[in-house]
Amino acid sequence: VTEINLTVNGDETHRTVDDRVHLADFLRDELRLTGTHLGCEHGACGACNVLVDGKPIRSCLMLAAQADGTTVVTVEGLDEGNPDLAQTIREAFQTNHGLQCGFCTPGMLITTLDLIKRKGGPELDEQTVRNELSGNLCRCTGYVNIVAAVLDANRNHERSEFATALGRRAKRRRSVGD
Amino acid sequence: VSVPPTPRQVGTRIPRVEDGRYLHGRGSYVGDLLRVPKTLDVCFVRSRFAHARIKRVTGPAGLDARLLWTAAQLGDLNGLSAVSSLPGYQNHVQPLIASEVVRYVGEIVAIALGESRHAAEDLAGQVLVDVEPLPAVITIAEAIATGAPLANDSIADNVFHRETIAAGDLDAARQRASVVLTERFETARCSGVPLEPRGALACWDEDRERLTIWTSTQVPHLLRSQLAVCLGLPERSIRVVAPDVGGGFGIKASLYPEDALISALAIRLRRPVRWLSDRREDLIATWFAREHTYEVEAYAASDGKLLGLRVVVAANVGAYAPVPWTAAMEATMAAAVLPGPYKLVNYRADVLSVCSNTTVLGPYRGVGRPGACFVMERVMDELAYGLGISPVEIRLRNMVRHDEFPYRNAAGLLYDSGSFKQALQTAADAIGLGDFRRRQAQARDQGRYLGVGFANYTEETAHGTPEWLKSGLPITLSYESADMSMDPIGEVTVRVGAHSQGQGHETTLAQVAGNALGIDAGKVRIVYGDTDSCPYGIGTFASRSAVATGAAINDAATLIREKLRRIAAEELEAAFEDLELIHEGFRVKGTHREITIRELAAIAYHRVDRLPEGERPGLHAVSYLEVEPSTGTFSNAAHAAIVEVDPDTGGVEILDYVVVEDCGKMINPTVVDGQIHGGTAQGIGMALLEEIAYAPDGQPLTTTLGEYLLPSSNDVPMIRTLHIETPSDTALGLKGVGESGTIAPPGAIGNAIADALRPLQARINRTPMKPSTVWEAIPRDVA
Repeated sequence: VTEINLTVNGDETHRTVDDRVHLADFLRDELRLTGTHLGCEHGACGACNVLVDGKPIRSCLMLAAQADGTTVVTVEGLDEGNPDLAQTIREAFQTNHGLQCGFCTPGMLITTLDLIKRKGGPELDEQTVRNELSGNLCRCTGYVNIVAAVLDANRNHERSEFATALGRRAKRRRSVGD
Repeated sequence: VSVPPTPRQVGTRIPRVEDGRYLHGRGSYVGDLLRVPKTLDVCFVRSRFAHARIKRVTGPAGLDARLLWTAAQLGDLNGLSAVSSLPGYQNHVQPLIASEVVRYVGEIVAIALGESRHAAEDLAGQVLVDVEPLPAVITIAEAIATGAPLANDSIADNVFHRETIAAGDLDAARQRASVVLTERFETARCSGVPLEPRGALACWDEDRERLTIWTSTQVPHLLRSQLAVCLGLPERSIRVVAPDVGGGFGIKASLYPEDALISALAIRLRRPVRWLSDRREDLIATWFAREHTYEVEAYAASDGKLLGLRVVVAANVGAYAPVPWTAAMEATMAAAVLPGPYKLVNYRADVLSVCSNTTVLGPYRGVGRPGACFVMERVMDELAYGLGISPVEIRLRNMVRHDEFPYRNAAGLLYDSGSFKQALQTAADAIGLGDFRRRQAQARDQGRYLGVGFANYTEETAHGTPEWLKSGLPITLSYESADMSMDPIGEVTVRVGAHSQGQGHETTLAQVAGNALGIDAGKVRIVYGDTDSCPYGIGTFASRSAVATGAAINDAATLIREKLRRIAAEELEAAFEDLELIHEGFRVKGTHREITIRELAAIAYHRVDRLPEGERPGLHAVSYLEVEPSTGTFSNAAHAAIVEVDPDTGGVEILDYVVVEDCGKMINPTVVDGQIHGGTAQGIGMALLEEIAYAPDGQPLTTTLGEYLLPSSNDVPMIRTLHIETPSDTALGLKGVGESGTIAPPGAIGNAIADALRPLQARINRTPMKPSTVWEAIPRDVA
C-alpha cells in the first residue's frame, strides 16, 4: 500500500491505496466520483480522461499511487478554475446534440476543455479538432455534432473572452477618467 | 378563430432534457451504483477452447467453497432457449453455464467471486479447467462441408435452419438477360461495442423474497420474464432496473446467461453480487453480428431492367441461438430485404443459418440489412457497368415508383410508402454528381483515384404481430405501453415499457405527450427502466420506440384529453363538441370563453363535486397498443459517398458523405440527425474497419480496441443529412429511424471504391474494405 496526498477537484485528499489500484478506480470507488467512466480499461477509448496537473490523461492507465502530489480534475470538477469555459462547453454540447447515451461525454468534455485552453481561438479549425478528439471514442454520435459542439464552444468562449477584455478595458478607461 | 393544437410540440428541435445529468458526470450507469456493503464481485471463468469436453474444474487449495461455482454446485437452473416455429428449425437449449461441453471460446465454465473485482479476477486466474479438446468448426465453409464435425450435437448438419424463398421464373429471366453477373460476397463479423460494457448487480431481499437486479439492458421486462424461467421464481418476485444505459445498439437486447447466473448466486449466497464486464470480455463473449456469405447470380436486360436474382445466403450464427431472436433472424432478414427499393419479380434465396464453434450472433443495429444492402447495391453497380448505364440511371429505372405503393416485394414484405427515387435524385444532386465526374477525370490524369458510390434501402420498422409470427419467434414483440397520470396542477408523468440508451426518449416521448395534451413538453416527465413502476413493455430495439411507444402515449393522452374536455364542457356550460384544444386549455369555438388545463386538473382531484355526472375522479390512463399497420412501416434512404483510394496502400479516405433519409414525420429533427450520424458512423466502421477475427482453431484475435477498430473522429466525415417526410399511417405519421443510418454505408462506400478503381478492375466484394482487402482486390498485373 502507498499513502497519497493529492488535490481532487479542489479538495485536499489523503488516502492509503493498494499499489495496483488505478487512478480511475480510486476516483470512482474510493472518492465516489463516478463521472469518470471505464469504457475499455486499456487506454483506447478515452472515457476515463481526467486532467492531472492540467494535462489530460487516461486514468485507467495511471496508478493512483502515481497521482501522489498531483492536482486532479474530473468531469465533476470541470468548473474548478474554468467556470465560464466549462459552462460554455456544456452548453455547446447540449445545443449541438453532441451527446446521446452520455457514457463517453465526461472524457469528451475533459479533452475539449484542454483543447480550447491550448489551441482555442480564431485559428482553431475542424481538422485540428478532429485530430485532438481522435483519442476519445464515441459510438453514438458519429462525432459530427461533437465536432460542431467543440467549434461552437470555441467561438462562444472567444466571444465571451473578448467581451470580458472589452469590459476590463472600459473599466480601466473609466478609472483613468476618474 | 381556430388555433391548431400546439403543433410546435412534434416536429420541433427542442434540446434534450436528459443532457444535464450527463454533462455534469451525474449519469447513473450500473457500474456507478453505490457498491452495497457485503457485495461480492464476479469474474467469469470462460472457456479457452472452441470445442472441448470439460474433465475437471479445480480451484486453489484451501479455497472457501462459496467463492467458486460450477454448474454442478449451482444445481437446477433452466437454460436459455428461443423456440422457433419455423418448419425444420432445430431447437436447442443453451446452458447458462457449461457442465460437460464448451462450444465456443468465452463460454462460461465457472464463476469466481471476491470481495473486490481484483480479488475475483485473481481467483479466476488460479482456476484450472482441465479439458479434452474436440474438433471445432469455425467458418461457414467448414461448418457446411460434407462430413464436418458437429459444433453443437443438438444441431444436425451444423444448420439451425434452412429455407427457400422463391418467386417468379428465374430460368426465363436468365434467358432474356443481356448481362449475367456472378459474384460471391462476404461481410465480416462485427461487434456493436456500446461504450459501456455489459454489467449487473443483483440483490436478494430474504424477508420479502424478492430479487432486484440492476442491469444494462434494452429490454427490462423481457429480462424479468426470462429470469423467472431460469430461476424458477414468480415474476412478482423479480424487479429489473435498467438505469442509464451507455449505448445498446441491439447488443443489449438479447437475453444473456450472466444476468441469471449472478441472480442465482445472490439468492444462494444471500449477498449482493455484481458483475462488471471489461472490454476484453466484451470482445470475446458478448453476442456479435453480421457474418454472412452470399453467392449471387443476377440478370438484367439491355435497358438495365433487373430481370432476376438468385442468392444463397448464409449467416454464421455461432454455437447457440440468441434469445428470443432465434438463429434464423440474421439470414432470413437478409434474404427478405435483399430486393430493397427495386422491383424484382423473379427471385430465389436459399437461406442457411449455420452453427459453429464461435460466439453467438445476435441483433445489432440493422440486423441482416447492412449485408443485404451491400450485396444488392454492389450488384446494381456491376450490372450498370456491364451495360454501360450510369449507376443512378439503372437504379431509377428499377425503383418502386411513388404511385406503386403499397408494394409487395418478392419475399412478401409489404412496403407501405416511400420516396425512393426522390431520395436518390436528391442525394445525387447534393453530392454534386455532374461536377464530380469532371473532377474524377482530372484527378485520374494526375494519377489519383476518386470514386462516387450510391446505396439505397427501405427498412421495415415497428414490426407488427404477424411479422413476428412469420419470423417464427416464440413471442410477439409488437406492442408498447404507456401509463399516464396528469397531476392536480395539470402536469404529466408517463411510465413506459420501452427504454432509452441514448435515443433521447425523455425528450421526444414528452413531445408526443405534450402534442396530444396541448401542454409544453417541459411539463411532461417520462419514466422508464424499472419493472416495479413501469407497465409491462417490450423494450427499445428494431426502430420501434417512436412508432410503438409514441402511439401508446398518444392514445393514453387522448383518453385524458377527452376527459378534460368533458370537464371543460361542464365548467364552460358548452357542448362537448364546441370545445377546441388551445395551448394549455380549452376554448369554446368562436368565443373568448376559455379554461386552463391546470384548472381542469384541479377539479379532477380536489373539487370532484364539480365533475360531470358519472365522471370518476383523477386523470389516469393506461394504453397497450399493437403497432399499426401490422405489416410494418417502411423508412427509406439514399446514401452517397465520394472517396479517394490509394491503390499502392489500399487506403480509403471518405471525402464527402450525404444521407437523404425519409422516416416520415419527425418528432425532433435534431434527434433524427443524431440517429442518422451515429448509425452512419457504425456503417462506416463496418465498411472500412471493423472485423471480429478468429484463428483457424477458434481463438478470437480481436480482443482489444487496438485490434477491433472503431471509427474515430478522423474516420467519420461531416455527414450531410437531408430529410424527406413521407408520412406513414401510424399515429402521428411516424416511421422508425434508429437503425437507419447503419444500413447503407458498406454499399455506398463499396461502390465508391469500385468506381475509383474501375481502371484497375478491382473486385470489391467483402467487408471490411480495409487497406489489405482493397490492395488485394486490385489485380497486380494490371497495376
